Amino acid sequence: MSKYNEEETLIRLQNPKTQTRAFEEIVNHYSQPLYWQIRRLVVDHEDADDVLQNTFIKAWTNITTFRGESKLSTWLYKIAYNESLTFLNHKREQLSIDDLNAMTVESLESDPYFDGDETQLMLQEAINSLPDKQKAVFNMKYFEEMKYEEMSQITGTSIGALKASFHLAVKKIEEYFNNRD
Amino acid sequence: MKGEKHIIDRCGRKTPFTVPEGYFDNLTARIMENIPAEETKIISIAPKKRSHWMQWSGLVAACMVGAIVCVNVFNKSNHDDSSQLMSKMTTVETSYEESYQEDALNYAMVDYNDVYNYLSGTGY
Repeated sequence: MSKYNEEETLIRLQNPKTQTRAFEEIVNHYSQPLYWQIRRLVVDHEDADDVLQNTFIKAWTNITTFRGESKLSTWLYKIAYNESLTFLNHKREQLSIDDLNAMTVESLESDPYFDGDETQLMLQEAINSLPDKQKAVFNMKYFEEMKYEEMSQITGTSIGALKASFHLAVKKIEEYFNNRD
Repeated sequence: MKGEKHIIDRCGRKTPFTVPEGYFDNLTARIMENIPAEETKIISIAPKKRSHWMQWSGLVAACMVGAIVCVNVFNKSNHDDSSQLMSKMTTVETSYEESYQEDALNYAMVDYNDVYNYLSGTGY
C-alpha cells in the first residue's frame, strides 16, 4: 500500500466511488495504534480484537458525521475509547468488579500473549484495580504519552479533571506497590 | 511528576502484551470484510403517489365512517343524560393521560448505553 496521506484520503472519503478504498487506507493506518489503546483497557487479546472490529464498523457507519472539526485520529480514538468502556460495562454486568479484576489478573498470569516480568504484572494488577475511566486516563498518559488536550477531546473531560485523575491513579498505584513490597 | 517517575524507573513504559503471530498482517483485510457493504439508505418521508380511484375510495370510506359515528352519537345522546356523557368523557381523558405518562416514563428511562448509542449514531 502506498504512503498514507490523510488530507488526500479524507478528500477521497467524500466521494462514494473512492470511499471504500479510502476507508481501507484509514483502517490500515490506524488499526495498530487503536488495537493497543483498546488492548491496554480490555487486556484480553480476543476481546481487544472484537472491540477493534466494532470500532471500525461504527466509524464506517458514522463516517458521514465526521466533519473534520477534530483530527481523524482523535475521532477514531474517541470511538475506540467509548466502545472499550461499553464492552467493559457489559462484561461487568455479568461479573462483580472484584471477580472481573481477579479474572483479568489470573488470566494474565497464564496468558501466552503477556510477556512482562513480575513487576510489570504487578503494574497491570494495580492498573486493573482502578475505575475504568481512570485506567484509560492512566494508560493514555503513561504508555502513549498523550497530551492532555487530545485526551480531553477523546474522553470529553476537562484538562483539569484529567490531570487530577492521573495524579490520583499514580498515587493509588504507588500505594498498591507499597502494600506489596 | 515524582510518582510517575518512580513507576517508570521500576516498570518502564513498555506495554507487556503481545499478539498472535501474523495478527497484524491480515488485520485490515479482516476488518474490511466485516464492514457493512450496503450503503446508507435514505428513507423518503414524502407521501407516495396514489391512483385517483384509491383517493376517491378513501374519501368515500371516510365519509361513511363519519356518517355512522354521527348517527350513533345522536342516538346515544338521546338516551344518555348529560352527566353520564361527562363521566364517559372524563374516563377517556384520564386513560389517555395515564398512557401518555407511561410513554413519557419509558422515554425518560435512559441509561449510559442509550446515551452512548444515541450519540454514536449522530456523530461525535
